[in-house]
Amino acid sequence: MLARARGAGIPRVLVAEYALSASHPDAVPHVLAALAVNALESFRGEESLRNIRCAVTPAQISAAAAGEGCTLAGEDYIVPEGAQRDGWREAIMVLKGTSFARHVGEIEEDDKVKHMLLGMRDALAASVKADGLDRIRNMDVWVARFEWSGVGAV
Amino acid sequence: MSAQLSLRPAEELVACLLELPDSPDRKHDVAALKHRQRLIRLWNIPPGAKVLEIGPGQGDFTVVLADAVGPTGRVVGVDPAPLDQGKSYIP
Repeated sequence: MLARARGAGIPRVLVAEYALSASHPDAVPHVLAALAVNALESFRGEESLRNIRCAVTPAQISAAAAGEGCTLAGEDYIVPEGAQRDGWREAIMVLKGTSFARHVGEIEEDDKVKHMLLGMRDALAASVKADGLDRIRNMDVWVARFEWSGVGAV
Repeated sequence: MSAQLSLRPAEELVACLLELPDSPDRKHDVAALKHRQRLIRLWNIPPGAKVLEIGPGQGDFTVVLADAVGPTGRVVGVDPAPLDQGKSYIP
């Protein structure tokens, strides 16, 4: 997609993505929920409609962009405001919904993998045990600006 | 010198969202819009800019981008999801 953007004359690429990091301790459950769902989805097929299916980190995005001749020109990490509920929603879906455990049961993997996935769910549950679900905040967001570099840069 | 960025209050933009007006998550909706406005300021997207948005979903960010670039700018959204995704949430 980056190569197509460059070919189309788009001069810069702006990215905002959850960073899989938590500057605020109340955002740790969001990171754990995202990692649990991402792990489960790595064993499922393209038919999934989950919100998180292939989480990537800032380092992975930057490396992929560099491979396309796209240089990181600037970045920030921001802490979302407490009223945002995306992290809470992700945690609720894992802890209160039925699909996470059901999908773990359905994947064609050995028990070691299933124990790992359910263990990640249990770690999420443990992370909210003391302060409750309502304290969950969104994890850090990575805000980046990429520009084309090298020969033929736009 | 680029035109100064002037963003509408998030409490106004929330009326442009596809979420139901009596959504129990209205505080989240407003906070999420303010978050997106914060991103636009960090990226320094000016009025008049032309933006290609990859994966706009239900258009929550599209609303904020459109407000930021104004009538002389343009926002085009491209999303791989089927057109009826999320239809159960739309009145």
